Amino acid sequence: MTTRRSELRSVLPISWAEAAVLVALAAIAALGLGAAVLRFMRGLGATTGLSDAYPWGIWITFDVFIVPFSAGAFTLAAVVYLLDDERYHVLVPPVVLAGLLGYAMVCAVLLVDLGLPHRFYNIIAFLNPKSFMFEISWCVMLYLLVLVLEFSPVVLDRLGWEGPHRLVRAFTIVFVSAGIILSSLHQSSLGSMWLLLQAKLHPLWWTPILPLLFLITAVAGGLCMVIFVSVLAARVYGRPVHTHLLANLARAVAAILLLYGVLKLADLALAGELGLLFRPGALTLLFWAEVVLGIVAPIVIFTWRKLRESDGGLLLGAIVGLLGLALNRANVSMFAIWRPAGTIYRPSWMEVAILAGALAGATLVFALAARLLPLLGPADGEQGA
Amino acid sequence: MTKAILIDTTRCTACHGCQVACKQWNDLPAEETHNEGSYQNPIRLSAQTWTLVQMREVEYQGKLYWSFLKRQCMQCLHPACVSACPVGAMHRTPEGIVVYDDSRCIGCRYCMTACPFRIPRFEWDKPLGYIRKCHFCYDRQAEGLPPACVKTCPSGALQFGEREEMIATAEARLKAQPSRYYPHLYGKEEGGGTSVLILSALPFDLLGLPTLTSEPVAVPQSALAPFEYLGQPTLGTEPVTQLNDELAHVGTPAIALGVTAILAGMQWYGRRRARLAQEATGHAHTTKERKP
Amino acid sequence: MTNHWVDLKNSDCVLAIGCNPAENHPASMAWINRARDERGAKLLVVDPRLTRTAAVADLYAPLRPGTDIAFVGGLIHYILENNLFHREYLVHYTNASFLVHPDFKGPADLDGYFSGYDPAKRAYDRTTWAYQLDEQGNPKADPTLESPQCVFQILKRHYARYTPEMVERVCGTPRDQFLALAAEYAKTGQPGKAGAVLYAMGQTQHTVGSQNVRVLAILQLLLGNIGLPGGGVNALRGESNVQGSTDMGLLYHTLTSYLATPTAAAHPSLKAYLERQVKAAGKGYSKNTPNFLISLLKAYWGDAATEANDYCYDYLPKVSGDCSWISLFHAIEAGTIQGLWLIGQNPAVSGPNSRFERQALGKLKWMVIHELFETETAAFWKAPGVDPATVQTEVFLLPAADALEKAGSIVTSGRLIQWRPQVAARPELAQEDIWILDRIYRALKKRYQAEGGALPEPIVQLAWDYGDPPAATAVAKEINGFYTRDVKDASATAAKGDLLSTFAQLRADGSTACGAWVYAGYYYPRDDGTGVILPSCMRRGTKDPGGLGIYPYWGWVWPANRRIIYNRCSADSQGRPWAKDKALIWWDGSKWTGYDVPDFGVTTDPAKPGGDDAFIMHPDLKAALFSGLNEGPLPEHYEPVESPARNLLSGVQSNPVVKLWDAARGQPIGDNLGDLSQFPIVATTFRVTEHWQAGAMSRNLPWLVEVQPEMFVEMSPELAREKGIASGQTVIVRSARGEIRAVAVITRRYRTLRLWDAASNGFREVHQVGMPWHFGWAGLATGASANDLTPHVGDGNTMIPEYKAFLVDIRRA
Repeated sequence: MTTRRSELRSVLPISWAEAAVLVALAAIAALGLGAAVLRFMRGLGATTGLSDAYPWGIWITFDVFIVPFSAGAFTLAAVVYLLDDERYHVLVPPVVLAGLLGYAMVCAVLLVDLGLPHRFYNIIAFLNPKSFMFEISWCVMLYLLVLVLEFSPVVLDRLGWEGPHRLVRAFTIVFVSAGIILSSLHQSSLGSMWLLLQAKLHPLWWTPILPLLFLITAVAGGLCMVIFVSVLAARVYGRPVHTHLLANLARAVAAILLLYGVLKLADLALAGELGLLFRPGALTLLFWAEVVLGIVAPIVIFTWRKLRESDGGLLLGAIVGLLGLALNRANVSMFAIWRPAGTIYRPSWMEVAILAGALAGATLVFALAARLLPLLGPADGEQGA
Repeated sequence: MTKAILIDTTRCTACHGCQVACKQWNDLPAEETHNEGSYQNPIRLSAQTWTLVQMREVEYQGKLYWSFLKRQCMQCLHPACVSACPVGAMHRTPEGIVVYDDSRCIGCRYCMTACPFRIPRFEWDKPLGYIRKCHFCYDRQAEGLPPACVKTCPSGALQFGEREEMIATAEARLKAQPSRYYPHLYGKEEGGGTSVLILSALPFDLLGLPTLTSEPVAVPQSALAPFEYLGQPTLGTEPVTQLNDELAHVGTPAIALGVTAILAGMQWYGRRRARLAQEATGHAHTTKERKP
Repeated sequence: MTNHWVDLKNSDCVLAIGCNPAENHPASMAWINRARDERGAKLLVVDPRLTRTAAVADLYAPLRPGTDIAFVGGLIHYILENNLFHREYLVHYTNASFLVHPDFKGPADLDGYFSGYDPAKRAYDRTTWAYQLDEQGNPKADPTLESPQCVFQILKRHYARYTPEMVERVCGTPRDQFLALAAEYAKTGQPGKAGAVLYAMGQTQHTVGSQNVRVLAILQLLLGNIGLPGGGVNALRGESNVQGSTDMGLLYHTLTSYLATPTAAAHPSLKAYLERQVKAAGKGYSKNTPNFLISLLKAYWGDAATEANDYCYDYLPKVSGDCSWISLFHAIEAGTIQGLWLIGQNPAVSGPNSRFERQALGKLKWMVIHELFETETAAFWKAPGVDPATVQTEVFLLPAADALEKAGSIVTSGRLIQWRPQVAARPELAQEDIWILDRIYRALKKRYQAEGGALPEPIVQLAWDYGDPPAATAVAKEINGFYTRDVKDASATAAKGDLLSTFAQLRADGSTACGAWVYAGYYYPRDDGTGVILPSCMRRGTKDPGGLGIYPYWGWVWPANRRIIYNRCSADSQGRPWAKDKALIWWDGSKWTGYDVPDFGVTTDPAKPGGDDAFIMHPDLKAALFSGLNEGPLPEHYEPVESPARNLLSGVQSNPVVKLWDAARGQPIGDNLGDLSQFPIVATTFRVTEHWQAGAMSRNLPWLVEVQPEMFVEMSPELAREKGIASGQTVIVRSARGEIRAVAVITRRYRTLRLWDAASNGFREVHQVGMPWHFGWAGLATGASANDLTPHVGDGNTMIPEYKAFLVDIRRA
């Protein structure tokens, strides 16, 4: 009886509300697709606010944020498979899917942003080992493959293909290890790529240890993503929130962010730049906002047991942490880069539409997967398999 | 081995010959321009304008200067664009010229973000656009000719030759007529050195060039710029590519190996914990035995 | 130029006044820069605004347009006051010591006039300007320069009013800037030092334009800067071959090589012409005018010109009035002139009071125009606002070949003639001007021969055979000159047709023909320094004996391949060069020798009488500090006809001999003059590097249009603030002749003038603006024409329009 109900529930029909949301998401995704078509018809100049002064805009910023957001997949995989802590296993499928969809969005947005996207295969044909963008591209491509393989058991399970399922499962540890190595490489490289901007990036952000800082915040941000996706998906689809597990992760986030904060402070002190923290200006405000949202608030929320052990508290902490991460990546990739006086960047509606479309598309896939695949564990009151 | 251009701005009178010669040699289209209250046009470099004469009225030490500076790719000895380009479209020839191979480019525009002088420009008006910049007339140099701009310059402001020779020439001028120049040869050391060397009567930050200072130079910004920028960007004597290149060389393998080691360590720790738990409880307790 | 471009590298100090070499002759900066680099030379610039030349100058002094005589007069005052003049030079080579008529009086005595002014005629009787003569008829002289009536003392008295304070009050030049510049330039008065003066239209395009140039000549003579390397009075000619065109007599008052155009009144016959001109020549080389004129007549009419018929002198048109540009357009407007033949000229844009002139074009019966593009003049009948149905003029537009699309010679400002081959293909229908004129001539001749007509002989009997198609080289040979018959006598042995090698070979007996006497020898075959023999102007030999940039094997310089004229002055009275490191020519005991062709008798001993008569073209063989022009023998400051200020030097406001035109005065389009009450801002016009003259050749080229796309007007930030104008905004500039739209370029390079106001006994602020005159409605880049604003008034001697100083008002559009 319970199995059938769960089976039924995992298939349509769904409520009108949910259907409406799915249709809306599809519509926004279609709008994004339309904007992409416009981009290819008219060129980047006519369809975006980008210019020679601002060659990178919200698309790149989106990409450099979503990648560490998607880091939840590899950090959780490390916890589960390498620390061999099977308690967290239940969190894995939706997180891996979220990570996979994150990387898919990044690839989609990149294809629109590249000036000559039909040449993307040149990344494979030609290589410049000095370029961190080259390294990032390769790692992202390979990692996307890893994520697909990591997620495939869920699909294979649904399809009932036992053989391939077992095969994939057998190599889980290989995928996971590869994923961790690849992730560490490209999450830190996303920081390394800004090293060339020594002359142009505001010293509150530029530092030789930028790769390390990016890696650390990726881990912390990824764990926030795990919390975010887990709590949100559970709430939306009526599943139990694994509060205890998530609270442990939250503690880890607080510790990692504390380490990050100390490193950042020490780095500024060693560079003699502590004075910049108090120099009046919009960039200083942005920096403090990033610190408050990305370091202080999550630490406070996740150290406070009461908040840490409540769904609401966990979600709040995760959201705030992710906002801080987003702001940090936005500062490094956009706001804190020197531009000549008088130049300005105003994103066009098409730029926004493409991001909205990507997010909507990814959310749509996630929502469909939540209904069509054994993505989330059994519903309330049901026993886990 | 590397050739360089010496720009002596005290000899330049902004005739724009270099600007037009570059357009002519490279068959670049004229842009549609308007007089925005200045003799400088086009106002900025672009995919169709690879060099221009920047004209700025500057007050310095109580005197009004109408300063002229030819802006173009600085042909760095350690180019940020070359380290940035993932496909090696930006590369340095054996003769030391920084050139762009448009058959490789994927249009990622990392070179634009990386360049401290903001030189590479993009073809925004095309659905599929390339990056464009001054290529030092590498095709003319291959025939033993100077770049088109140097050839055209009527006043002797532009000179071309071996970099060491141009440095020696510039330093001789600084020594012979010290009252005429700001006492510094720009490009000798900035960012590890460039093949475009500049002499000026004015300090270089007043000309809008990233300067060799440790303190950022504050410059008044227009109200349009919503954020406070630190004035002019600064440049050290070491190449901007130094950290990037060292890290790429060393860091990538290091991270890969290090993480592998950590993973192995984590695996060992996990296995050990499971084994200890198993010894304690007598039950198998590993992931592998869980039912899917 | 008395010197030449390359010679600038020898200068110790270059004074650029009323010109903008970096802007309009960018290549000249290479030589000026050499002087700065190698000799530590200083570049001094005097200009209403800080130009591209001033941007690299060592000293820049601002001055109000139209006050150059006040400024340079101030320099002269400074030099005389501080004894910085070159005394030996003055005594030997100039008329400084000559005594002037005892009744001579100047503006200091007569409140702005010289003695002899007739207000009714608006002209001077020059009797009191003559020298005192001795029994032989030579000017009396006082070599001590002390006598109160000697030229030197008269000069001193005349410029006593031109103090630094006066310069500040009249020109608006701050006193300290003026004195710094004066002190620097005056250093070139030392023997051994040379200062070069560069000038252009900023000096000439004024109602006192001729006197502006005269005052520069006086300045240079006082400092001993004429005739030596690195010195000179150097005109920066305004087009690439205007020097050639004036050499070929395209000015209304000269035939080729600056022989006077015969006038009906003074030169009714050959005898009258030759007598009069030889008398005027005095002891100067122009006493050989008979050789020059008769050879010219032989060149024109060939065998038809014989001694019996005065060499066809009667066929030459005689001028009976003023044929200057402004007069021409008044005659067109009045209907007196019915047809206009234009060769590469665009009066619709370049003429003063151009609205008047464009309107006048509509009165023509016909117009023939050789052009590269359909310009504003060629298409005046369909200009914006013109209904073609109302225009009765028949216009013939003949497509012409560009300079690079035909072979021929071009003459630089430095009198250097360089032959250039054709290097570009012509558009299908375009022809060389000589082909067009040749075809017209042949057709005319045919018609005259067939139908008779009025006075056919001057046309039909022309010696005109340059080949079919006509070759520029054939014309060149005629200009160079040749023997018209076999000659064998004491001075020469030659065959008929032999080219002349020097103007000394010219004769008055019809045995020589020569199109332009100063060019004689320019096409004669000579060695280029490497053993290759070529027509001289085709040579490109790079040897430079002496290293002074003479380059005697490169092309050919008129006259006689002499690069620096009056170069006798480069050496002292004993024949020893003033500057050892720049020795040009010197006396070696028996002859003059050196690196340049001596502008002097080669065997004339400097120690003997006549050994210092350096200025061989002058009637007295001495340079003239004191010399009669229509408004006086000495330059005196008068205000431009449209002026913002009362003349502070005297009671005469503007040049008292200037002709004031009054056609259609008071009409919207007419000879209108404005005053301060309506037009309080001083305006001037100028050129920019990127555009060329009336603009057809540059405003049709996208790469040039990109750099300078629009008509603009430059002004100071103070004026902009007062009128509420922002940079890049469109403004309207208005004068008594019309109004135009332009983009505002607001710049600190333009300063508000502080001028003395006699009425309030204090300084008053006067704004000034400047604009390029390159724009018109035709072409790729279009815009308003600045000459819609300029006045129809010209110089007292040459009638060159006062484009450079007038009054306007300005407002936001």
